[in-house]
Amino acid sequence: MNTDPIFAILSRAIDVSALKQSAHAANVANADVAGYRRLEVTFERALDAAQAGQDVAIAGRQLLAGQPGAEAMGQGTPRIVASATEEVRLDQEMAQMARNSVRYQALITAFEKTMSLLRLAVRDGREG
Amino acid sequence: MGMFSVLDVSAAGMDVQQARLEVAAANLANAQTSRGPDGKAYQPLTVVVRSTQAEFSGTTGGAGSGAAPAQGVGANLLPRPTVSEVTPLDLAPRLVHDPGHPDADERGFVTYPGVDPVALMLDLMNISRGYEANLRAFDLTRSLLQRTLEIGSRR
Repeated sequence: MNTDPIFAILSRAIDVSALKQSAHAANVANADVAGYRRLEVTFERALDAAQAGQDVAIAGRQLLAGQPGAEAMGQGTPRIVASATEEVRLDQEMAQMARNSVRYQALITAFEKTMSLLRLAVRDGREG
Repeated sequence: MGMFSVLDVSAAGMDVQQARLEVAAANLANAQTSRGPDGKAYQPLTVVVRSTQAEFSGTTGGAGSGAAPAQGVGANLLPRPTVSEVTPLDLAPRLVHDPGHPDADERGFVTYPGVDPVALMLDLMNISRGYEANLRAFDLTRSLLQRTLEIGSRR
């Protein structure tokens, strides 16, 4: 198993999740400011552009097989942009932040699990 | 790493709420103040909060406008709220007929600030909600950072 693409895509996903946390925190802090425009992270749109015609399932299989070119699946650049809507709804923001933090911790756990698999392989299957 | 400055943004949010709380408390406490050091009735105050969002105008707009990605450094540009000024609120004063009062005018009316206690209580609730939300965001960011630092520390 080639773990490089797994690490690559996991760290990218962690990046996106960290950016989302930043955006939510800024929205909560600026919730009372008149004229403030809500921040959001655009990644999905970038992902669409990166895939442009490429089937998601095929890309996923190529990725796991470690084929070159398949990294395009995770190559979109996540960005924080100000949205068109001005209104920040505090409760919505808090709910999204809670969900994102669970996701973040799940991604970190996945990262650690992959690392411990590697460690196991390096130690020739012996624990400890 | 940009995540650290997110803590500053949440702290700025708490600062702003604290300033609002101080002003609301002053307004409420002085609701019965008929004469200040300047000889006039207390003037209610309000906090004007502005954001540093202007820096963000470059990356706004529709899909993929602007080539420079804000990834990673994005958090440094995060808009943070600041108290731009504390200004007197132009409210009509409340006149109470009380001829015996030392501050009564020639017609026997005492001038009190036009503070609306109900609106102030509502303000206070909003302020505490905002403060708690910022505190929660701060806590979450901190625990995510901590979790990240723990990568590889466990077997």
